[in-house]
Amino acid sequence: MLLSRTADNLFWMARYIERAESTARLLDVGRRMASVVTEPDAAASEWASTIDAAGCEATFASAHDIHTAGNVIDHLVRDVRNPSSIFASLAVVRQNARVVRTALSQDVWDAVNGMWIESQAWRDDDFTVAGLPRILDWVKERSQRFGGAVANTMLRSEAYWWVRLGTFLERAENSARIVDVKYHVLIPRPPGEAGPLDEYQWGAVLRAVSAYRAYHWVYRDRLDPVRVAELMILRPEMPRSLVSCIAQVTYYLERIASDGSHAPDGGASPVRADLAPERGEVSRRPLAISRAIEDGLRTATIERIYGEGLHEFLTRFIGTMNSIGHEIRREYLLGE
Amino acid sequence: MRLRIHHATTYEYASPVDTATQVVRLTPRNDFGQVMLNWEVRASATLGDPSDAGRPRVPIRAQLVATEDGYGNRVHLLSVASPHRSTRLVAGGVVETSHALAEANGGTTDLPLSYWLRETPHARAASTIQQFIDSSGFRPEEESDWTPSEHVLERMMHDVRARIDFTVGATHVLTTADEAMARGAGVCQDHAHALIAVARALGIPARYVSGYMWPGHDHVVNASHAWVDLHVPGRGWMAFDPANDCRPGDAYVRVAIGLDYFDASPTRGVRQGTAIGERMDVQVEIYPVDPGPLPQGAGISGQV
Amino acid sequence: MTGYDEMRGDGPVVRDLYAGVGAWLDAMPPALLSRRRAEAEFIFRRTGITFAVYEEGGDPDRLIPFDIIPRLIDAREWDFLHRGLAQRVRALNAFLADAYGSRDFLRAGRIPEHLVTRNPEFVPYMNGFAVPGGCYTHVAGIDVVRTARDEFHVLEDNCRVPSGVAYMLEDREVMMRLFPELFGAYRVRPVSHYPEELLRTLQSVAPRNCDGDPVVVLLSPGQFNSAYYEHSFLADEMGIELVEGADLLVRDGLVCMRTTRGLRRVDVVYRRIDDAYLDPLAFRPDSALGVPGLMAAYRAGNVTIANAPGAGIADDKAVYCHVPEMIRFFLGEEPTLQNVPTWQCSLEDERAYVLEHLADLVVKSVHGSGGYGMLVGPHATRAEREEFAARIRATPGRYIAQPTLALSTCPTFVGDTVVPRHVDLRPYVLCGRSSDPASIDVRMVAGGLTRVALPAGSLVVNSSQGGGTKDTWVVDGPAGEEG
Repeated sequence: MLLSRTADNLFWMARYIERAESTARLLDVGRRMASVVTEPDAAASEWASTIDAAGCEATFASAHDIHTAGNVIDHLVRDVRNPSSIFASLAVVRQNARVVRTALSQDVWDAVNGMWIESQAWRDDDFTVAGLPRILDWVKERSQRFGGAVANTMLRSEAYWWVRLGTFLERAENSARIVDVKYHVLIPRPPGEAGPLDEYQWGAVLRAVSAYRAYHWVYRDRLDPVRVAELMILRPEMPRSLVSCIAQVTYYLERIASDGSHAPDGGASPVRADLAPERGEVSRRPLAISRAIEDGLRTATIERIYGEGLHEFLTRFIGTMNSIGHEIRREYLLGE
Repeated sequence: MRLRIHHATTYEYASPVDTATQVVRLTPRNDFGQVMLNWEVRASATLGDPSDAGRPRVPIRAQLVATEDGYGNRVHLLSVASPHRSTRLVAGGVVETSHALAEANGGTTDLPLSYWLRETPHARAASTIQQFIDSSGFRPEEESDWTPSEHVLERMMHDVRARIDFTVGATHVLTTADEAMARGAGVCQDHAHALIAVARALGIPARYVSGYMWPGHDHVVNASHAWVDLHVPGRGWMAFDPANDCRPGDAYVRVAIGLDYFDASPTRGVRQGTAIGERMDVQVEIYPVDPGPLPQGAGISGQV
Repeated sequence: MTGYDEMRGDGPVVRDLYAGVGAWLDAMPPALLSRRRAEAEFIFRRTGITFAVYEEGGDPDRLIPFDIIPRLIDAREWDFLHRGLAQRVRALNAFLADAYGSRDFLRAGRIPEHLVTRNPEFVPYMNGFAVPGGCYTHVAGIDVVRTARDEFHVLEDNCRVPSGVAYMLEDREVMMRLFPELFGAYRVRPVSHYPEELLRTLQSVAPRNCDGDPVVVLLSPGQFNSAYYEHSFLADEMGIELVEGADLLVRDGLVCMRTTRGLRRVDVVYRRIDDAYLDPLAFRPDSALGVPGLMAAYRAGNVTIANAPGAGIADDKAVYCHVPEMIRFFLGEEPTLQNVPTWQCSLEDERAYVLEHLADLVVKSVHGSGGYGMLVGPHATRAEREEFAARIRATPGRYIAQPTLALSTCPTFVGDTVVPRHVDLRPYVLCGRSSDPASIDVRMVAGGLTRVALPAGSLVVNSSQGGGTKDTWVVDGPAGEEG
């Protein structure tokens, strides 16, 4: 048993640190894409699709007119008026961590607090195309350190499950977004028709999720757009694939929904039955959705997904992740 | 006199409210010379558009728990736990009143008289009321050991009433006594606050009283009522109704007392979730019944 | 002004009690002391033991200065204090039960009635309500000063939400880490079991209808409160939930907290928020804070609030004057611990005396706390004294005055030298349900929090005014020392 507010803080702390990392990875795709096109218009369009994929069209439009590299970097990295920017995310992470500090291990707190302190040290000339790789590497490295501290030092109790649930729910959504940035280049081509630029773009998607080498290990063949999509969506051995992420979401939702017999207090905290009307069926709603999605992905084929339309499939998937988040809030975080 | 009362309060919202908690003072006191013969308070809540007669109204659990406050008032705590679009509180029963009400003694509250001199933010003699007192001549300056006569207190009530017209809608529940007097308009709550502020400023202990009044003709009165107890050395507590400029008698039923409206108000609550388009409807019916044998099942019950 | 020197007594030589500390200080080069002090500060900062100041320009991560030289109290002195504190707190609780009950003390004319009935801290909702176990001040902080070898005075009673106990506990932790060798020279009574004692006290006052182990929560205003560290520390040490108003709700007359497994009933609320923010339906109508219906649930006997709402009427500085009389009236005993002589400005002749002797007196606001709104006559400028005189004339009932006491001093490491500085002591007195329904169970851990005024000559020890803290050792020394 956890206070709902504590669970909420842990969940969002984890989501936002994952969001910061995902935004960094999205920017990495955008950076690689923009660097190989020659016309300024094409570069702007690459940056624009990065903004779209991050779901920041509206906030960007209210802050900037044109999709220059500088504007996009500013908006996605440090503009605190954009709640999804890396720095805004880190502020939310620290704020949440501070409230639940006693539920965290010292190492997790140090990881969060250290990241926040270091974020204050970046200077204006770091927020440029040239400075960007260093910032992105820093974000990824710090986020990994957080994940490592969670995995290695946190007690396996409900607090841990909520952190993990936040991480994987956010990661599932963001992996879908990363594929969605380039859904239009991931269309089937007869062998031999793809140019070097196409291959470069497919490679950029893979590199963004640190899966360029993984592709070659799995397929032992040259890059093929449909296989890139398959790896990112359906391959369970790929840790950032949608199926892997949703399997983790299911796992932690199962832990949380378990009747407390796995709880650290051995379930010794009886909830007054008359105060918690009929939770059985209802409390497994987020879990039911997650299981259904996981089962669907495990039996799906990439051909069926292309049959629906890749973009349509990804949009639907992102929507479902939102409803899981919504159901989690309704079932657990309001505390009733 | 034996009075039957039926008091219904309905809240309706244009969109559902998540939860609501209310403190309810709707049970007459069983002291001050009045006897509660039977009484019951009920609450219900529904989901579904109250204005849409065609759609079924889903009943929502609304729980009442009985307790008491520090003045001996009977208090119910109402909680509605799930989203709802309307709440209805119904209180009613039969009360035997007595003429002795004009002398408001015999209450079980034992707070010392000095307590009833406390100022509250809403019943406080700020500048307007202070000026009113200064120009009134209620208290002769030369008398250091002054005891107000009943006559002076009646004049005080009369003068307060003369300064504040009875106007519905000119004030709201948070209006202070001083604001009401400055505006020259208000309802019974404002008259009571103003008289209390004047009295306490002159060293006269004063209590706010909320309850019911049978106006003598109509049955439907549409509101509960409020008046004032003042304490006179040697005579004890005496009741004054500044809104009607008269002394309460057996047409009055006492429900709650306190320092001001916030201590004695029939309902006070908080809601969670945005309460858009709140509508509150109060209906009070009060009429005398035969003082014959008691109706079947009569008895004192605060809650069912 | 020089006070009693707790290390040297009235003579030139170190008291036997302090011999161990004296030898230790002699063997410690100042550079080493400085280094240890820096280490202590590092530990405090790393643990996050801060006393946040959130006003403009305030430092949210401010540390309360910690002095590394312990303050020693011998067993005989502590026995005396213990007896006096328990007596005083029993009387305060009896007074509160009386003030909200039969009011015999008032009727007997032992205290002016208006000090109770018109006290801003009086909570009418409590009138006629028998609190569980008869306990009002589950935690009382009684501020004690020493003016001579065998003279202790109570300076102030804190019956609402006294804070600082986390410093008592953390100061000891840090001392044991930094100076294990000094502990070898003394038999120091432990303090670390305080959270267990507190939890036991809180559980003892659970409502009668509580089934099973009582669920206790600590209700905090949240992370922006200056004492938030203490709230989370105590909740952690007791193994109870640290909740804020929004985590609680009243359903069917029961207080519940919102958890991931649904609503869970709460039996005892150890609140660290003021009365006015407990329940918007019982207190300020304009406040959205608090738990709506909490007071009704309390009166219905479904939850216990600690400390009890309205306990503040026992600790204002005008009521303080009447505590010795409470001891005589309710306990039939003579007070063990004396009050500081106090002039009440509401009384004409006492006011005249105060106005005439402002330069020698300390003037305090009756309802003030934390060292705000007070005048230390000897240290004030003429203009400040005149301003205060005007305030006293305008609202005499709001002020009392006391002689400027020569507070005792303890060796303190300031800069790079050991110098005497004025101290006081705040022991924490716990009151729980007793098996004897006519009584309450009073317990305390040995010692308390020693506060030290760091500037030379200063008598203001409040942490909000730049005071620091010291570890307080109650020592079971070799018997018979000093005679």
